[in-house]
Amino acid sequence: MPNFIKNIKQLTSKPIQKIELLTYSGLAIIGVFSCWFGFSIVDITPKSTLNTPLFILIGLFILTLFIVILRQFFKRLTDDSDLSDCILQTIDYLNTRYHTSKKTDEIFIHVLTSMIDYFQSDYALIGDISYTENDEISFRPYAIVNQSQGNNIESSMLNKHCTFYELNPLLGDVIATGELVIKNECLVTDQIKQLPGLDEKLTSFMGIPLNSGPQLVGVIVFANHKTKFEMPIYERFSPLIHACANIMDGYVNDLFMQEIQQNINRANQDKLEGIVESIDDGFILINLFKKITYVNSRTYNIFKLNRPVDACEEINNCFPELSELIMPLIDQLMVSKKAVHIEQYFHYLHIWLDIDIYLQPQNISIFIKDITRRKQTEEKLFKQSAKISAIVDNAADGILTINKKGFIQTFNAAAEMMFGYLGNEVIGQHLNKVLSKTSQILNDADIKKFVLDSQSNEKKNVCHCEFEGVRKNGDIFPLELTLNDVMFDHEKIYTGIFRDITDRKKVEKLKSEFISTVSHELRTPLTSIKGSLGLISGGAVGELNEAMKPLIDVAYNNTNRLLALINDILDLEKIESGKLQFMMSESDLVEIVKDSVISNQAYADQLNIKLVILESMDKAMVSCDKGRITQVLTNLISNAVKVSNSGSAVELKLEPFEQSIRVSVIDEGDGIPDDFRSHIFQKFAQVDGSDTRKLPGTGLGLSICKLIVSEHGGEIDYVTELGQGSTFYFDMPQNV
Amino acid sequence: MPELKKVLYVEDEPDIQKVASLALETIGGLIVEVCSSGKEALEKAVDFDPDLLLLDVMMPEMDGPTTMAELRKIESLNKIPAVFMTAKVQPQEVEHLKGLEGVAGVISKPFDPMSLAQQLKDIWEKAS
Repeated sequence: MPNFIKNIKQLTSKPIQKIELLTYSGLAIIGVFSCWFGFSIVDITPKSTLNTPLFILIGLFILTLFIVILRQFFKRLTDDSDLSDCILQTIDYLNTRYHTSKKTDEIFIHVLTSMIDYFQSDYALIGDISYTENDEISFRPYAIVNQSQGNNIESSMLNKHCTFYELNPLLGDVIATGELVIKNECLVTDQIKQLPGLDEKLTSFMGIPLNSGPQLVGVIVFANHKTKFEMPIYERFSPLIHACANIMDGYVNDLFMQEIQQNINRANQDKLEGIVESIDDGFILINLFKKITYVNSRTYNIFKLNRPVDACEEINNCFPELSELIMPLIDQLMVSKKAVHIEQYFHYLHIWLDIDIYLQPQNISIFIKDITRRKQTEEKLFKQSAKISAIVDNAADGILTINKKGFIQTFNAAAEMMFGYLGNEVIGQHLNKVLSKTSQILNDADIKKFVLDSQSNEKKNVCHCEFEGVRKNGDIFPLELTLNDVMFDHEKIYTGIFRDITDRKKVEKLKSEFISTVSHELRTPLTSIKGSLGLISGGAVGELNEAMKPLIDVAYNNTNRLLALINDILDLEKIESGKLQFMMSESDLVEIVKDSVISNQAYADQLNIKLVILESMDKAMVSCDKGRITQVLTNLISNAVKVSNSGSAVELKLEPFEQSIRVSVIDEGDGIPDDFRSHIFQKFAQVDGSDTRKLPGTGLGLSICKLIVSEHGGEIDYVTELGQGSTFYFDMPQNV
Repeated sequence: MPELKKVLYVEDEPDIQKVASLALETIGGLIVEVCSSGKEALEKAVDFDPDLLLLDVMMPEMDGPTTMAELRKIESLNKIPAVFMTAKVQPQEVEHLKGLEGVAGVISKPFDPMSLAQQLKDIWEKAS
């Protein structure tokens, strides 16, 4: 501030020049003139002895006086220049210190101590003017210096507000008027409030307003002058006071801005901290010297750290295992400036961590996520999928998955072997690529229907079908396909298990051909035998004598028995191989039962057994193969007749049972032993061992009945009591 | 409606030939011309002028259905009803034979010799 310095020089030199310098100069001129006059008298009148010593005396007196005056003058001059220096130094100090250190209380204490001596007072106070929330003026003391009674108290009182009404009235006057207030009278009354930090009696008061432009920004108070306060000392210090006002103004503004900035910073920091604390990841902030500046609470959990981390602590101290891993990465990051991401297992902590490191202008932020569970799941999944793919690859059946449009998605090793294609040759291709032309049509229809059904429901669907596959070399071979639907990723995919059934087909064909051939070849001679015997016993070739007739009958009956056996074997084979076609139609069970009774009547009559329909219904419509159900009934009736004693009755019953119609055939025979229950429906089963059986029959009848009934979705069973008889029944699902 | 009288019987098995023709002639009182093959049947058919064809299904060289088809090519025989006698008794096999053009019935082997003639007569009545 060059203007200030100029002003100070002018102002400080002014009073000396104008008042004192003029007086002293006048005195000096008189002295010089007196000396000159004295000496000139001595020179001009050497002989006048009387007056010479007087004149010398007068001259010497005047000279002494002159010297004294001169000395006083110079002393005064020196004092003034000391003061000017002091003021200049203080201003300089104010400016430099304020801009460098900002420790305002110290600065003001220094200012007050340097001024208090010049103002010859025991007490000094400086403070600013501010406004409270209620718009009341308040005074905030910054610094107090109290030197009364040899004390030397310096204190800073920053931020201790006193409102206007709590103030000493003289100080209040200064603040209210904004003018300089000087009071040198004794001010002792009890009511008058003391100045802050002043315990002694207030004897004199000088309140200096600090004005920045038109605005009052602060007040300097000096109190308890050794004699009394006067204007000139104030005037002399006015540049320093002016400087103080400027500093005060700047400081207040700075303070205000600082406060705002601090508030903003705090708010931002709070917000950031809130965010950082709320995330589920660990977060460490380190400065560019790799010292920790912030750690969120999640980090403590992750690293199981029980003590608080000090600011600027080394990472190595708190998180050694982490430090070892990330230090080289941070070095790398500082060079490349690219964020670093790493997943690492921490052996000491037994956890997997996912670490992200970001470089920022002032900081390096480290985000740490505990991914142990995810990793474990991944590992488990990996192991599982390895296991499954090992199973799938080693399976003997071809396994493939297709999507709902029939495109192949996976193809296992066995499928590769079976079709001669490599997986990548068929994946993405339609399933038709590995099926024969005829199968393709079948496949399209079957799979479309299956997919359609499967899409429309949530439950599991399975489809078995037989196709012809085509190998890469063009060979066609029979395939059995089991198609399952699987929910995968909210979408149904289809797993197909293919089995090459070439061998099975060959065996099946052989068996079927064998049975069919045997059956046909046996029938031809049987036809001749039966025909011949029939003609003889029927009397077509003349009457037989008494001895021959029963023998011919035995031969004829056994021909029929052999024929029944052949028929049963043929039926059984057809049913078991699934080749027996059932010709389903809506039929009335009541009619079937009646017809069966009629057709078995002749046989029952031979053995003197009555066939009785005990209970019946008006109508019992079921969907069935009429011929096959008749076969079942005939079988049950003939069995019942066989076991019945001559003269007894076989009863038939027809009744609704749950959702079905139950047909029962009741005999009054010997009943069936309990130990026979487990295999009565098995093939070639007869109650008593084959050596001693007394009953005719192939032992296939009931097993055929069971197969036929279960093909109709029904069940067959019996109840029996030894000596009382048995009831065989079957339930036919009724049409709704 | 004329009564069934003349039956052209084609059967390769001589034993069955004997039994069947005996049953038809003795019990049923029918006139039976027995042929041992389809070829023989084609030679004898026109002269014999049958009311009904009774054919075995499985025969060497020419099987029953083929014999029937060949016989039908002869103009005088093309409306004669045919009956098959077969050891193939599975329902689908029987249905297949019944479905052929001009087949009046199927009799399974072994047949009941005492009622064979009556069976034929019943079929004849139905077919006429």
